[in-house]
Amino acid sequence: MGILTSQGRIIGIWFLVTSLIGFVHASAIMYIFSVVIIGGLLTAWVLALWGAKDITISREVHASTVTSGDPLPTKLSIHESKARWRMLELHDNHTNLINNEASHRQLTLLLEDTRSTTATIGGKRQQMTQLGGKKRELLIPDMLRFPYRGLYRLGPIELQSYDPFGLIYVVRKIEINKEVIVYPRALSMPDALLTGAGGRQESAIRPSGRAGESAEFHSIRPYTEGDDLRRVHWKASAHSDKMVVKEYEYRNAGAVQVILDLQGNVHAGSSYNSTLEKAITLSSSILTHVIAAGNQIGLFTTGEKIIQLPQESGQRQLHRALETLALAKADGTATLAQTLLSNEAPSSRRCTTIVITPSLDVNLIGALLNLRGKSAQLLLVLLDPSQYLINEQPDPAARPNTLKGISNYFEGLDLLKTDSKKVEAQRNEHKRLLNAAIAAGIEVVSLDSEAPLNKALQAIGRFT
Amino acid sequence: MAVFLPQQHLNNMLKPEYTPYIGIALVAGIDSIVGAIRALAEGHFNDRVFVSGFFTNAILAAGLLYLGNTLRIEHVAVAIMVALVFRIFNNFGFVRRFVFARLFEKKLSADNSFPEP
Repeated sequence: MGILTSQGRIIGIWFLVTSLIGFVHASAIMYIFSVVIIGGLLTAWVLALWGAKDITISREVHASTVTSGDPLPTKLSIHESKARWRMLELHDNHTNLINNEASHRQLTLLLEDTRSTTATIGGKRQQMTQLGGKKRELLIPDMLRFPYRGLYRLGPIELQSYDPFGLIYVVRKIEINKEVIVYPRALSMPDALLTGAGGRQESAIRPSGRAGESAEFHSIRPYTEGDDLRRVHWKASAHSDKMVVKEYEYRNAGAVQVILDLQGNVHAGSSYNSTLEKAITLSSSILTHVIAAGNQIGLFTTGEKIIQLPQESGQRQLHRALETLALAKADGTATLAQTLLSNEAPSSRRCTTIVITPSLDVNLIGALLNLRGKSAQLLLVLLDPSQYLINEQPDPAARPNTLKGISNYFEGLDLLKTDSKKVEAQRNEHKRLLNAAIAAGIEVVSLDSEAPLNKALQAIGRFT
Repeated sequence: MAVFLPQQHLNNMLKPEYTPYIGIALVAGIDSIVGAIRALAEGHFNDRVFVSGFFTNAILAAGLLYLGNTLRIEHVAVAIMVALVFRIFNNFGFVRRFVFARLFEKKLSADNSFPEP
């Protein structure tokens, strides 16, 4: 099946009009003229079909996994069983099977006749390999980059063969599907934290609540709001006018286990700007950091299928964890609190547990307290989902310039009014949960959508 | 036409830099066709004149563009397009007035001047 290009469509109109004139004027010459025009189009179609024949395309991918943003070298091989003049366009489709987002690239190729050993690719000439007889091959080295984590399907490739005049093209779909797992990129953590020696609460996004109870005594400092009364140094306070609290060094518990909440309805935001992506980036950064420090990692995700990676060290374990994170979807049905209370989550007294969730469920506190009793240390990383709802709002500053635009504008304002209540409610629920966690003595790092992840990691890093 | 040419000639036949010439020739073809419709409406259409004019106009438009580019005269394509588009609008306006006159059953005057819409 051929598809007319814009030039081809103009010539098609010529055909229709000249046929009509021939009919109205009863002119044989006009009929012949229109037959010549349609003959030209048919010739173009045959040439386009001819260009799509006797050609195979294959792709060589040098790795099945890659970290997002890193280059993945691939090689596209175009093999002609009969060398001939061809004007081709290759449309390469990539689909992220995790969120079904598709991307597409285009490459223009001009393969010249049998005597030539060069091809023109995107305006540049490249050498072809003669394989004997009329066969020849063109190898196109390619470098793919995937900006986001996921499971990418490379292909199919759509081959469009044009006639030499560019009037018509024939489409051929070439199924060369390959799958590549793209790991989430881990953010670097401060070098000082890689030693695992711990540190003190100094960062802008600082963990609130009590310090590691099993840590070594570090110093005393003035009491600030939110400090646990159990940490007040009563003797020192009695000697001075103000209350002072004891500060401890955070002890590195060695192994770290990340519990990632993948319940469907707790995550907010769309596509790559969401609590899910932030949680996954945090998880991958923490796990990579811990493995780099030579410690063991474990991962527990609460999606539709619960995945549990027992604590192990080494690069293989890191790859397993990153693969799990790359394929993670927010498709769980049970709440994190239910999952934790059902004792499915593994726990170890020799392991620091980091729970990452955007949940607003207050029942989580009880589940975390239960988990804390079984872990060396427990850290809750609480993502504020309300901020992601704000980011999804229509822009009220956008000036409408059409009637439809004005209608959408006012609809947008109504939506804004309704959703601002929802945002406010979510923010209050988040604050309530945060305060409840602090009151229960759980270490918490609270993160909104604007919080820089490296600062957050700095705060989290003190526990790992 | 291309099917009868030896394959190696195809390499030199169509290159991306020839695209403006094809575009201009296509517009010249549209001009000829609209002109033919006008001639048909006026009742003095001649198929031989049309076919000869069709190819001559297309070749002339592409040739003028080539000449302009060779002599490095800027915006030749724009000048040709203005001339062609002016003719197309003029002829199309005539056809439109003719159709309106027919639709509203107004009698055409003897000097073939149609009432203004």
